[in-house]
Amino acid sequence: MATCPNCQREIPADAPAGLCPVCAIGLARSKPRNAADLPTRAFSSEESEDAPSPEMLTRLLPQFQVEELIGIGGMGAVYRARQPKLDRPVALKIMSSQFARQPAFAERFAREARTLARLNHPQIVSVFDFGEVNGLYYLVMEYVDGINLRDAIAAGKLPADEVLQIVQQVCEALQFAHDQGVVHRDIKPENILLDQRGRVKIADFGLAKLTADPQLPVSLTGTRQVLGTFNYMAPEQIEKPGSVDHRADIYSLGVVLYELLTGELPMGRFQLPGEKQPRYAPLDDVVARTLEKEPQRRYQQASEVRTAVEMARSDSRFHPVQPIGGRRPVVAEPVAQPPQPKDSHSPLSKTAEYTVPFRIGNPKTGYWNQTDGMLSLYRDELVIHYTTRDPFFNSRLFGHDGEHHLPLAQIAGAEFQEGWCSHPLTVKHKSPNDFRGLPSEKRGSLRFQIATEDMEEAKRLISHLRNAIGQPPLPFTIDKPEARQARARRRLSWLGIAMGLVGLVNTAIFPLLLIGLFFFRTEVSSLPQSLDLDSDIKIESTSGSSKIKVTIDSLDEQSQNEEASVKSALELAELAEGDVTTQADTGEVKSDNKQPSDAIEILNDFGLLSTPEEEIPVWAQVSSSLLMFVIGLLLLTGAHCILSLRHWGWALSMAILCIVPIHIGAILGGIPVGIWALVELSRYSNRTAFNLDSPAA
Amino acid sequence: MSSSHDDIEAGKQRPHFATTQWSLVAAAAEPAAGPGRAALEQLCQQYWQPLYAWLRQSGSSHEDAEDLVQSFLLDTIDSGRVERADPSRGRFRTFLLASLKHYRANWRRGEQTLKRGGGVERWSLDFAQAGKSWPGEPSDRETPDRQFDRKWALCLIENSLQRVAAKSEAKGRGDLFARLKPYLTGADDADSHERVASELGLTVGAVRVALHRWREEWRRAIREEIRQTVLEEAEIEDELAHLMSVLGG
Repeated sequence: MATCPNCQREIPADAPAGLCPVCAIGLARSKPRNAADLPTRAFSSEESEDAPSPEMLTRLLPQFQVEELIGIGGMGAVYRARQPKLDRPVALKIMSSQFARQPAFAERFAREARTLARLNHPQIVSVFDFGEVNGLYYLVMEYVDGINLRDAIAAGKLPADEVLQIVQQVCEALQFAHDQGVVHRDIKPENILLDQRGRVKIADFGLAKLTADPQLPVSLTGTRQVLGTFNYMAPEQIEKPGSVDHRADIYSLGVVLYELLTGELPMGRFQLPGEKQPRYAPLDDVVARTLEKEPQRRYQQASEVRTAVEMARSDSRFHPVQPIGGRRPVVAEPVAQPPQPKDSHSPLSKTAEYTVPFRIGNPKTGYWNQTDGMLSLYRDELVIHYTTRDPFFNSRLFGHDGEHHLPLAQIAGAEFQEGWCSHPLTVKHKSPNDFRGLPSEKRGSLRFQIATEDMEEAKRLISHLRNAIGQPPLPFTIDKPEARQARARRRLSWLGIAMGLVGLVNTAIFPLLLIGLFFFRTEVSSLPQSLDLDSDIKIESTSGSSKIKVTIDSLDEQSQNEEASVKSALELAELAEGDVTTQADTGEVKSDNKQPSDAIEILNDFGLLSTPEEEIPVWAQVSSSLLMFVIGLLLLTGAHCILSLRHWGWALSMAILCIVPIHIGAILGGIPVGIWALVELSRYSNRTAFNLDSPAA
Repeated sequence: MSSSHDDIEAGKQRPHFATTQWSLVAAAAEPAAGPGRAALEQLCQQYWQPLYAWLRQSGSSHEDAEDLVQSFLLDTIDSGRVERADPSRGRFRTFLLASLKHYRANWRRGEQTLKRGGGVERWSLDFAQAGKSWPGEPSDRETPDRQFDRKWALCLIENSLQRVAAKSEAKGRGDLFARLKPYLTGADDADSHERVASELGLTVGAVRVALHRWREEWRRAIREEIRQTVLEEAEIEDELAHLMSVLGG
């Protein structure tokens, strides 16, 4: 009697088709095999009732025979249908009526559908047609006879190599779409389909854009729809949905890759795949870079992810037994041999392998033929793997991939310069190969630009390369990340203290200024009582009376002249009409019913007094003091950021504020501190010190 | 499942319980005619084997059992026995067995044979096959009722498999289904996928996709089969649990 391979029970002789009946009933009692526990299942029953019946759709769309409902999702319902005229199966997507009610949906729908119809790629589900009938918006799409990646995971863990193949295919499709300016916005296992031959097809390109109401923040547009997708969304998609570009897809792809490798979602401080399974260590960088919070720190193109995954696939750690591809000269190391530490300066061992991404040309400034690639150092050769882009649209469409092998015996020299903003790696060679397709500066020399973050790896590669070809080591030091970080922390703590002092100057001076202000105001109010206006002339008001007294100290000849001038001036101004008395011996001029300020004004008009200082208006004094106080507080927060190594961007802004000479701190040392901060903060090693410690990293 | 666009929720049953064959039978005012009769006929055609098994297990000979099943089915359908059995409170399985027990108690050989026109059979039921698959002697371990239920479960699985096969045939994938059918209850992991793929000369992807799809389809087919014999959606789980216990799971 046969035994069931699944439950180990005996299968009765009369069991249909020799299949285990217990397992069959068990299967029927199990939950649906797909989408069972997806968050997107929060689909209320009335909405599934909303989905029109196949019969009704056939009546509405007589050009199709709608066969059955094959899925309901956040965007609508999908049916399998047949187009009798062309005798082909199609997938018919009916958009949910809640989206159709959005303003201007018809135009947006038409625009998106036209864009999607242009995406012709073997890895993208094609859109054949679209339309509207009785308020139902529908898309006619290629029918994929297969399952989605979510079901494939549910049906059993995928072999790692297959995972990478799938991810690479997704990369190709994404790169193609991105080159056409289409962002998927909703990459997740449910949208990645596998057909019968295991080929990848990506569904629902750009539809997320369509269903999200641009007027509303993402959290309000169909909560149901967002729920399941949140886990795969790039941070900027949640925070700033308006500014999403193709790099959001790269993030989502990273989440998918991580989930496929580890079975978990990368939440919070997640472990890298290599920490969970040493075999996946070559993929750590890929995962970490795709999941960078800042889009500019991610891979900038899906093709780069593809190249990096390709590199990881060919890594000997990933395939300890048999290297794939066959082109790699990697010699499999015996399992018992302990792994060689990467940063030791030992001669090139069989397993020593360094890979550094490089770039020739600049995508931002539209340098001719931008080229991305990977330099890999093997035991006996240097392999250059690259992809170029066409110069007009910066797309891979008219570019090409290539690979060059440079045996170490043909390498004459290797240099690396750690410049301020450019880090060229130069390889001099004696190869007869002209490296066609690879932009090279001149014959016999290849020049690659290394990104700052890959500098350490480039240094290692160069050290080993020079060692291997018998050249003396270059004088640069290869930092261990910990040492580099410790140094960065030390430097940054001094900087933080300095910026804190500048901040303190501002905040402390504010109260002093306010106190001074009130003191000064008191002076001003007492001015008319007695004030030395000039060395010789004193104007006083006698309290209790309305007379002022002008006293001229010494009655020399000049003073007598002045006294006359004063008197005549006052008389002229008709101040003194009948009221001014002069005592020649004491030099007093008395005037009734006048304030000393009037006298001062008159005397001033006649040029008899030196100009009194003008008062600063109170509002100006208070507001400038407040401004200084606020700047001081901001600078203190900047100092705090630097000391706690968080929020690099804010710290950099504060460095700029520190320099601006509108506050007392800037005058008292802020300008040098600010310049110092700008320089330190823009250093790569310090920046990474920040990022490593930021809570989201 | 196929072409899982979006967040597919295939296998999701419609919220309203569709009219099933048994509910048609139960609701028919006059089961001897109309859609109720057609439904009953179809159900009987599908589930006559458990009746045979019950009779054999209770000691009837092959000929007796064959005759009895034939006349019982005829009588049930023609005479509208359903009405009297008050099916509205039961499942088709329990109804059928109860009816059979009742019928057998009143059955006299020959009488019915004459009644139905001298042995002319209106049902083409493959009793020869049923007799062959019968072990020969009634099993000591099983009561007739348990035997009935056990056979019922197998019958149900058989019918569901046919349902899936017919569907595959309609999609032009009958061949592949026939080849993969033996693996439907097999282990479900990457290794076994690879093994099956190499045995059948297919790609691993094709095997994984196809097995996954057909398992799901089969799951739905079994439930659909049961749905046809009960009155309420909630009873499906009970029925499954019962069949599981009968099969010794």
